[in-house]
Amino acid sequence: MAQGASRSGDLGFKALVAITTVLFVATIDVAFLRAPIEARMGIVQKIFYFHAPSAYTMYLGATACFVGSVAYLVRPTDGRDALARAGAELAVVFGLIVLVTGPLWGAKAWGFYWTWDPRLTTSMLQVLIYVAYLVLRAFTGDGEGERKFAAALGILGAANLPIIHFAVQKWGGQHPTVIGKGGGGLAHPDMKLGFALAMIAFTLFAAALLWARVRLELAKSRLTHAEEDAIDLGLDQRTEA
Amino acid sequence: MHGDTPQPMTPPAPASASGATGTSQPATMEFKAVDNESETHSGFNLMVAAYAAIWVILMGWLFLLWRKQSALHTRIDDLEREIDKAAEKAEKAAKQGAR
Repeated sequence: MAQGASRSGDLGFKALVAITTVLFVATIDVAFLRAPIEARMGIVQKIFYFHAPSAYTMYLGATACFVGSVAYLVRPTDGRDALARAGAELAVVFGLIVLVTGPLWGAKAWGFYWTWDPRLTTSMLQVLIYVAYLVLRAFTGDGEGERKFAAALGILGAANLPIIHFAVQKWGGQHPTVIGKGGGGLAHPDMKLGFALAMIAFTLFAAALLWARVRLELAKSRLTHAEEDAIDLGLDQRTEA
Repeated sequence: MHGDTPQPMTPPAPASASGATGTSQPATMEFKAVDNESETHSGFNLMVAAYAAIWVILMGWLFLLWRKQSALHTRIDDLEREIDKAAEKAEKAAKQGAR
């Protein structure tokens, strides 16, 4: 029964990766070969097709970390802790992509790489919170107390998400609003298509990465339990950490 | 990074305004270099840099995951070795018991 579920899980993961790959190829085709060059910014605007979806993926990672953290505090399980940890890692990786690609766009569009704009500052803060989370997990062991402390930090990190999102509307700043309420929008249908494909591709990519990362973390937990059992049974001469 | 802003180019005055009567004069314009000013960033280079950065970050993460997986494999190998040792010991003990 468990083997059947594992096999269908593997099949689902492979299907997810295949669909994501096809969508990425389609995104690159539409964004680079079909969508026109933007009138004011020129070719550098094409960074947008990966910058904005990366920011969205950072939100997804942070949300996964929040959900896993809350669930862990309600009822601690290895799976919930693994979800929180995987979400934090996803938030850091895509947050870094946002913090690198954004300034490269800004260099052309604004004439400078960085400014302490509300959205830029809160985004950097968000990444730093999750970096702190990962540093905590890496250097403080994997006990119940450490996990709970990390879960609290995971919840705290998510509190910043709405601040990033509404920063532009509340405090203005340099960061442009293109999509959503008050946004200028994308004028050309191929620009809209490229962006829509990128958003779907990044959503599925995030799901695949989370899935793979949670599985790895669960395997690590199972191995730790097996090592502890082996020591308890006297099979393993090493002492518990 | 930011030097002086280049002055906008001013077109040469029309021939009639400069007092020439009827004869067409060649339009002259002097191109001057602006000191310490690289005009602007190349959009293409910035775009390539952005996509290179995306790949570097994702590959870096993949490398870290690969290292984590390698560490897990080492731990599994150690555990298997210990289990094999324990099984050998148990087998020897069983043989001695049978004698």
